[in-house]
Amino acid sequence: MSLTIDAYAGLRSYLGLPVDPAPQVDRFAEVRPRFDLIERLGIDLTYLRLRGVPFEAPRPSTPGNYVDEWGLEQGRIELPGGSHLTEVVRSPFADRSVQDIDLEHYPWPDPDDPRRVAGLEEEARGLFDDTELALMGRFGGPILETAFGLRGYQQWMMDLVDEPEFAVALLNRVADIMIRLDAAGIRAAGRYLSILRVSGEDLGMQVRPLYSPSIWRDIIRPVLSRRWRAAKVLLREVAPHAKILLHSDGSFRSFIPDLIEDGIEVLDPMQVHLPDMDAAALKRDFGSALTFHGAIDAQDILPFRNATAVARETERCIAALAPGGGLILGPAHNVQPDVPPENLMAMVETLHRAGRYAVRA
Amino acid sequence: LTRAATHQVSHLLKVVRELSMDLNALTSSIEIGDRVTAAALARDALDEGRPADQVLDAMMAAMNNVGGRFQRGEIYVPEMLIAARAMKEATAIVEPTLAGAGIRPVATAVIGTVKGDLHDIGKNLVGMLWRGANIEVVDLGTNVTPELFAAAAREHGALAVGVSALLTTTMVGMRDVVVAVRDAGLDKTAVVVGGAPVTAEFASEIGADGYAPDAGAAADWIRHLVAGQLAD
Repeated sequence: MSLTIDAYAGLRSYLGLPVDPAPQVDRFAEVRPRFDLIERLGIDLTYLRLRGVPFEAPRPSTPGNYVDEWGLEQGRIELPGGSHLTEVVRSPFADRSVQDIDLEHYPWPDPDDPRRVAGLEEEARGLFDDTELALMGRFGGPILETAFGLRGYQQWMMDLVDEPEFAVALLNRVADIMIRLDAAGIRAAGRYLSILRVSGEDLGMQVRPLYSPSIWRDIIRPVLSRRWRAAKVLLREVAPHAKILLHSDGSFRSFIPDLIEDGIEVLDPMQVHLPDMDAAALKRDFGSALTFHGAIDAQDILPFRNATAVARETERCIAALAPGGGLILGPAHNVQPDVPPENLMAMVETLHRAGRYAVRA
Repeated sequence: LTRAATHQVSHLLKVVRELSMDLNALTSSIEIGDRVTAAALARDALDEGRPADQVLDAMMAAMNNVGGRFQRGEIYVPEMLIAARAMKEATAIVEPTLAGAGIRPVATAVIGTVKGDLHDIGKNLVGMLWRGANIEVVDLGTNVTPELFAAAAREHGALAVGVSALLTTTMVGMRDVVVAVRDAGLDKTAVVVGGAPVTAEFASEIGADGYAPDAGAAADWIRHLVAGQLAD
């Protein structure tokens, strides 16, 4: 479970825990919770990340924005309640014909900078030895989101039809870097991992996949699966038991058999209220091959229903997804400030009551 | 009928068939997103003396089909975007002739992403389909305040206001847009809401006039609204 800063502070206060004096907040306003909260909630999983490295950032077009190491200008958007999100507001390859884009000489981030893994092994070993927490590696970032950040979302979507060779070249460029970032993290700390998260590649919209079957098959899947297979090969050497997790929002059932074939073993965040994403049906069809991570609806139930409804939904998801193993339950999105602490605790308490393995059908 | 007259009628029928075939080709070139062919066929149709409103109808038919196919999951975001681009380029060809003939968009609509939210793809897709339905679209962009929605609706005499949100935290601000439009006394302006977390239940709870689960549905909604207005 990931909490954004205001939800985190609100939950601490609700539980009577002291104010976290120095929360570490990332670009999605997510906080790494202190151990008192992890223990109180009975969280089983925490994560490891690569370190940021200094780079020469170009000046943003608008004060207050910043340019990240891929050259994407990020705008900051304040959310009600005090937290914030960042969104790409300027893309370096936008408004250019593909002939004018020089992928060869673009100043790409250097994935092999040793500072990215400084202290990572020690951090992993410490968590592994001193806590009961399972560790998830989050090393390389998203391929699709980075590619469309570089090109601009709509232009990228049109490239998939108009300029498929460029689209593939751009994806492969980005993938090469993500593969090396994954490798750096696995080399440093892979042996401590239970899960490797091969980042978030959103494949679905609210009601159906974002991409046609042919674009998925011919352009996107080959690049993504290359990364997943590369990670699996490295991981097998140091942590044969560790599973590969993919995050994808939305409804994309028709792609799931391909994901399984390409080595995905855990699927997050499971928006089980969307069309074609019914929990029981996915468990029936893919439960022997997949573990499900997430599942508790964050678009309606967690923010807008009461604690009783949250408890009922948690029971429902456990009954549908847990029998025989294969459920890591949590909110289906990082928790936003509109989720009442009562609701989160209803989820947590129901989980501890009804979600103890072995759950039987 | 004399032999000559029969011949003449059959010749005319052939010409009509060819012309309408040309317009069918224009429709399908837009549907498949072939912008070069779409612009050329629009130009040819005008050069051959086809009335501009017929050419426009053929183009609108394309975007109507595109919206329907998107709704049914037969095409996806990339295909819809290239179709909309072809529509835009063909529209640029016929616009001067349309204006010269006094043919105006059937209505104006204001569209934007709600305050606090920077996501725009869904809103943009709706705008493209609305333009494709011969609606003049005033796009206010992202992070739009309720006051700006209302002011723009008043300034442009908008038939509709389209409001988009991706986040649960910003979606609740849609209620303020409905209130601002009502407070501005814009009784004839309908508000439609959409975006990932938005539901029909939420739309009705905040008093919105419409809810669109996707861009194709938003296009259907505004077509019905226009038809209702014309019937009044």
